[in-house]
Amino acid sequence: MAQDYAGAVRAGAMAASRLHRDLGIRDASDGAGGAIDVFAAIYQLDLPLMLRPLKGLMGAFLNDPCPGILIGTGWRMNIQRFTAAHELGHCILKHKPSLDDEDQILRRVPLTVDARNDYQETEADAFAVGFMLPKWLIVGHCARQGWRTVDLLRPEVVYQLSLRVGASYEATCRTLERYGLVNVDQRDVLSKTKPRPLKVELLRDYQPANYKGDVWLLTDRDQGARIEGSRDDLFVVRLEERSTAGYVWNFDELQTSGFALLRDVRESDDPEGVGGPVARRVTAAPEDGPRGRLELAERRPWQPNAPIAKLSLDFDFSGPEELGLSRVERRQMLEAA
Amino acid sequence: MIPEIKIAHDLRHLFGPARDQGPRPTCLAFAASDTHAGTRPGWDPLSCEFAFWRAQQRGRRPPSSGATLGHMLEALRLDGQPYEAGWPYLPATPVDVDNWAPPATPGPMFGRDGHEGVASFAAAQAHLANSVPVMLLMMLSPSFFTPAVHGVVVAAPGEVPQPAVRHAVVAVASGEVGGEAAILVRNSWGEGWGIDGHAWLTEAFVTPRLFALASLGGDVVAPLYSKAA
Repeated sequence: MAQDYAGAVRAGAMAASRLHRDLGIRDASDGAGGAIDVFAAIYQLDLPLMLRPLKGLMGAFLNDPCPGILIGTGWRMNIQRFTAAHELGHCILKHKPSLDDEDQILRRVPLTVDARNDYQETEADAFAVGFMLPKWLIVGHCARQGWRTVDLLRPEVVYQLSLRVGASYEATCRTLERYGLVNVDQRDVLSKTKPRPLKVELLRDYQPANYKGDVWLLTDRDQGARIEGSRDDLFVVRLEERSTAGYVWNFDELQTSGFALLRDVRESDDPEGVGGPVARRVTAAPEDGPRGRLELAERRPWQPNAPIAKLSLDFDFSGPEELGLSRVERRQMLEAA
Repeated sequence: MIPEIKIAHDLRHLFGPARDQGPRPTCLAFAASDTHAGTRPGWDPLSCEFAFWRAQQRGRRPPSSGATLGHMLEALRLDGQPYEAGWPYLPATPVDVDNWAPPATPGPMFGRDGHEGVASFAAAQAHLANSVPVMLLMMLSPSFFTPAVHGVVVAAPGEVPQPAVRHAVVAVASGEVGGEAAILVRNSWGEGWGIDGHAWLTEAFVTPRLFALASLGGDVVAPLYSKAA
């Protein structure tokens, strides 16, 4: 156990890095651009994990009779993921059993001094941040999306980054500061923006029943990506379309893949020109937590075999985790059966 | 059921096979060039690339964006255009804009005066009745992409024009489709679209979508193009 705050942060971050290396996580993550699957790591380590309603608790780490993790149901996926990473940190760092409530995890600003001064929670937080949000993952997403450092001052960019790394908007802002990608004042400005107005802006005139779900903006930059969201998420696909040349994106597959089409518009920022490309903007919602591969193509309807552009991505909108085993463990058991 | 098609005025004999703009934003250059070539004796296609290049130069617009009608008419009148063989159409949008230029000697240049007219179905009909093909600038909607097998575009119930999708075609015939006044348009999406690259649009389809109309007048002397100029 670390004896001071700086030592605890260092120990947690180093343990996260070691686990990335031991499980080959960086190699597996490169290219696809998704989040680090905390639950898959727990499964890979053969650590018992159970999801259940935990009155007043978000998660717990137990070590008697053997190490194991409990995660509360009923939370948003990014919170479940952070809690799971925090509990995994307790386990990897061989901590004492820990019952973690909202005060422990949500209300405490990550990486601040542990109130009990035993630095166990600080270490677990540092592990969780290092494990879920390593700098290489953030840099990889920025490279894929074409975001420069200056773009990270835009709340809408940081929000989309937070979805792709599977963390909350606030945690992502703090992590950007920790890595020196924004300074403390810039982080403060970012933190003042809340996700709701960003969602409203993305959805334009479509009004969902509530704004609890996240809103993904998918573009050609997400080609080949892995998108992991929740059942109540919405997404907006925005693609350049050469419709005045007869080429249109076909979104029929979206519906056959289990999504409801909510809005479909074509937009242009060139009111004078004739024949220029337009932005096709489709808003959709997953129905029944679909999971699979989506392949869209831009082609002339009378020339179906000659697409001029494609967008394919793997998606999983079956989150958050529900009662019982984790989704990854259930899938592994089903595949083995 | 196949609607009965009655043709009143047909100018298709002035044109060759429908051309194909590929994925580029050049529909207006094709509509203008084909209208120009169709009003000249015989059918010898003119260079869309040259007309588009000049129009974009005049409008200070990149080759990746659409052209404006004003700059296209200006380019035809003041710069003219060579035969297609003088600067053949490029299959893809030029990436290196600085090197996007015609060959040193594209050959003889042909200029043509042009006018923007009243954007109405009746005006288009009147031009066709006078044996004058006319450019129609329209906002498209989904049914335009898939004309029925008999070459008539039939809008789905409730289908409305999409203001962002601004396209140019050439009206080449008029008549009636199923008893409704209609115009046959020549598109620049190849011969696979509609019937040999043409489709009938009814008055009910055209009227809410038409936002500009232009026709070409007489020949004007165009300066010979030289790279040094």
